[in-house]
Amino acid sequence: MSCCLAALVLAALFTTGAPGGSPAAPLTKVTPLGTPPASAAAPAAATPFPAAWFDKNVIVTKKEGYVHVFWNAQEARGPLTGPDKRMVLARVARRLAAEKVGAGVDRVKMDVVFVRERDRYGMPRWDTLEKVAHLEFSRDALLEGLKEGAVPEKAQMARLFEIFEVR
Amino acid sequence: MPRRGWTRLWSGVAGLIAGALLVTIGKGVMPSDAARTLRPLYHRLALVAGSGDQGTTDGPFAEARFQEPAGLAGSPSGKLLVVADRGGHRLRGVRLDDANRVVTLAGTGQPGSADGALSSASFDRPTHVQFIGPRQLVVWDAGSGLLRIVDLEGGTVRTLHAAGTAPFEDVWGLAASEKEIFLSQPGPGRLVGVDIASGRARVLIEGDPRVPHPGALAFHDATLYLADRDGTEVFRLGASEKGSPDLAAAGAPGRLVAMASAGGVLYGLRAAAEPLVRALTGEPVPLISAWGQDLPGRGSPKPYLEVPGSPPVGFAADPRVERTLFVTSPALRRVLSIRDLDQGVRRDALTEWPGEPDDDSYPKRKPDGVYRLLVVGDSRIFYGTDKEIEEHGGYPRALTFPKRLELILNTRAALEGRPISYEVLTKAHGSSAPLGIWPAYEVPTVAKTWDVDTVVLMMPPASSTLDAWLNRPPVAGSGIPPADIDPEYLLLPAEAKLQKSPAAALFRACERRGMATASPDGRLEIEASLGKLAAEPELRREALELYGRPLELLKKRLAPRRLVFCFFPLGSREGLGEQRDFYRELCSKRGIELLDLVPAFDVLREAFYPLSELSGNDHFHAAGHAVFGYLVAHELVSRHIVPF
Repeated sequence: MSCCLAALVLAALFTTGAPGGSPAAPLTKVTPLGTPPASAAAPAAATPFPAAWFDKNVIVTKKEGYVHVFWNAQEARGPLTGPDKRMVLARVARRLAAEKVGAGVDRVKMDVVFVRERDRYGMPRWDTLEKVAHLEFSRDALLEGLKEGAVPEKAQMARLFEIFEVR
Repeated sequence: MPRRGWTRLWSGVAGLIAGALLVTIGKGVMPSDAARTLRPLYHRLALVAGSGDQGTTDGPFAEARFQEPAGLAGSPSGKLLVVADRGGHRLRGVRLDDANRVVTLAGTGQPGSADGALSSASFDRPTHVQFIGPRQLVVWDAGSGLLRIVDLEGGTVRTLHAAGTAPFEDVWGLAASEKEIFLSQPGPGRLVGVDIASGRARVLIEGDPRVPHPGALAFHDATLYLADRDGTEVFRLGASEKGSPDLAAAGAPGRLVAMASAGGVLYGLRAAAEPLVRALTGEPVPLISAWGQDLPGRGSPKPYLEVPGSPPVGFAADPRVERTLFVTSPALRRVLSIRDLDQGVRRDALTEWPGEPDDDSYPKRKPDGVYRLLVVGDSRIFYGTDKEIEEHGGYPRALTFPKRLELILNTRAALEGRPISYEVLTKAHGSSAPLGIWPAYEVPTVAKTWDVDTVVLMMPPASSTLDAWLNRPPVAGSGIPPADIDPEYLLLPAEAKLQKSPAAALFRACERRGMATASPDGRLEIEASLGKLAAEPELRREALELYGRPLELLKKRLAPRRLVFCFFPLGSREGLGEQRDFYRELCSKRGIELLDLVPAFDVLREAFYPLSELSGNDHFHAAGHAVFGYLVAHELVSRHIVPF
């Protein structure tokens, strides 16, 4: 499984993600990202997500029989801790499935985390990681069942996602 | 003191330190009369020959004098650079295979047009020169307007009488193939070809509105390129059925004085603040000093390279080293070399760094006589202090340890007359990438691609190697963690990771001692420093295995290239002795050469304190990089790790 990982990680999106260095390491000077301002509320229906939510924050790894999507959602912390977080997650899952997952593989597992801090190079400090959500779904079914820009209804969610765990 | 001045001060200090150390420590091996054995410096910007004083003296490269150096031509063999000494009415030669010793090739020194033996023939203001064969040259004499054919093999000079034409006056550019000589004449507005065998001349371009005053001229990829004297475009000349060549626009580099092709790139020289330019793309080539600053351009009080607005100017490729050019002009009275290497400011280490070695502007083909090192490390070898980075808007490559090491090694070789040159390439990531792991994956390819002789892995006291062992899955086959994270594995529960991890025994042993934790999110962490682990036999045994495996794999994948493991104590000194001992044992067990810099650092530590910024990031400042470069150069040479 692991032999194909390095080649398949989208380095351009996330570069060489590495665990946070030991205390004496020189480039682990902490640059706290902080909590987004209060104004960063959940986007209204069909409002496009800011590109900053995803830039250098998504790793897609091809696994045996599925694709794993990892999203460091620290930039979207506000919406993802608000009342509409499930809707936001569903829409993000659709977007990433459409843009980052190739058409060849249907099954997608997606983990959403907050990594609170980065080092001075912008690398995530994994020791500040916090799990947010775990989703599993069929790419084809999600793209078909949830149109681009549409806001999913609650009744739809169970049909669109096989697993939708939110902490 | 303004910031820029502050950095200049440090840079100056660095130079003094390096210079003083070179002289002091080098005394034991340097001959008493160093001047006798001086060799030209191998560097991006270097003196090829000429003291700068006017004259005709031959001899050692730095003492020789030129009267009025104009055209340049490098021999196809790479052994000789011919200089048309316009005011001296001679052809001079720089013996590139003999420490750039300057000799007189032909000409009595009196203006004239006498043919005959090289020593008795005379020239009248020789201005342009080009090779037309391995040992044959064509020279254009500005005084007489004649074309002269010089046969260095046969020792003769003869005049090529171009049938049906008057002597060629006002020649701006000259290019030549083995069969034909091409001359651009902006005055009459034409480009002329002269058949070498018959002397028959043909007008190729005349009165063309796109090139009304043909100027700079050069062959590039077996095609002739031409620029207008007053225009800003470069044209490619193609064959045409009509007999006259087709002109095709090929670039717009600005107004050029001369062109030359070197290492697959067509370069232009222009009378501008940035005189060197890639002619087809228009990109200027920055001239960066050893101190990381742009060299003053035209209009500055003391430009490094002042290019006149019109010929004569000498501009030719160095046949030995790709993308390297010889430059001269009558006012300069020296011949310089400029190498197109990217040494400017790297503004963003995160986006500019990954994927490729920082030094991929070095040619893949290693020049003859060059010994290549690849230094591998973390930000300590390529980054500066916050203050310096703020001042430069990034950090100049020229200031970094690898470039210092390269400069100091080459300086020592030059001062001691050693016939060897060095290139030091870099491969590095920030310290969040595990330095004990990723080189096993990335470095062998780089070393092979760039034909590196020796890899030096620069290991500081702390790295994220253990973290990678704990939170990344072992790769099937190699048994070591991958170079990149596997996010899904990262999120596994701690116990699931420990079931698979070769680092489980170490983690458990540390856990029993209260030195390791597993977070609720599954993250495994050993909180003890390597020094602490090394101090306890059980932990040390396990750590030796984990640190040793990827290193041994790196060594195996690099073979037959040499691997040197260099431990240097920048940063925390906690448990330093234990770490030294640990790495000594590790290298001994795995058959890896160890370069322990702790003693050398300790000797200089108080005298040069501080070598780095003191805010906790442990990056060398500019002077620190220079001293570090000196220390490593000294150790590499004195321990015979590199040939010298």
